[in-house]
Amino acid sequence: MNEQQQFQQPQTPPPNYLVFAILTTIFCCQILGIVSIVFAAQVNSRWNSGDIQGALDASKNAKLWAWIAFGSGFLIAIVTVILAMLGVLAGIFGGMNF
Amino acid sequence: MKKILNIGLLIAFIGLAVLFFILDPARHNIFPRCIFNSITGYYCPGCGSQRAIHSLLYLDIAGVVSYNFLFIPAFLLIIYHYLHPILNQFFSWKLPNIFYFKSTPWIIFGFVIAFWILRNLPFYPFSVLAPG
Repeated sequence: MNEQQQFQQPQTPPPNYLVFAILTTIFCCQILGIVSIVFAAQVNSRWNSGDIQGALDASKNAKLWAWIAFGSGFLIAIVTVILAMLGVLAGIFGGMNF
Repeated sequence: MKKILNIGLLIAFIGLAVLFFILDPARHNIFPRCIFNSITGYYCPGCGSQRAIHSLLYLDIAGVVSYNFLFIPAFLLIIYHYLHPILNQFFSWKLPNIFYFKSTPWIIFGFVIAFWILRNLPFYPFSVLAPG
């Protein structure tokens, strides 16, 4: 089946960012990562049905949502580290009697 | 420029690995908590991944599986992603890029959603899927 498709369409499909989506889904931001997986699915199905423009659009969306997922996870990580550091400082200063 | 970015990423990656090796996310609270779990009290498909990374760095595979059942399949998929072009080039194999099969994203989608639901069921055998 795949060989036949490649015969009909010698070009390669646009990137579907599925690996990026899996990474963000399993490592931080499930909901946003899952949106990206759905767009990855659309890239493959639209490409296979010959809808090249649709596949390109889905590819853009897959990339966008994977980055939103990554960005939100990164932001949460930064905020957590800052809060943890503030917590440590509060612990140090809280123990002092001025 | 791209080379500098890649080297930066590699350094960040090694730094994170060292951090996850030294500190145990199960015992130190500098690691970010899952927002979904904090708000709803339910587990998400990614819950347990940080503890799983720690276990993986100590080659404690049973620990990895118990913290997050999908961690190893996801890890293998990512290895395949980076390995298959190299294998194809060196051995002139024709390994397909499985990520571009029509049904691959939907199968992964199905697994993630099923895992999300099942690991929150509070009775055996599904309770095994909960992290920890």
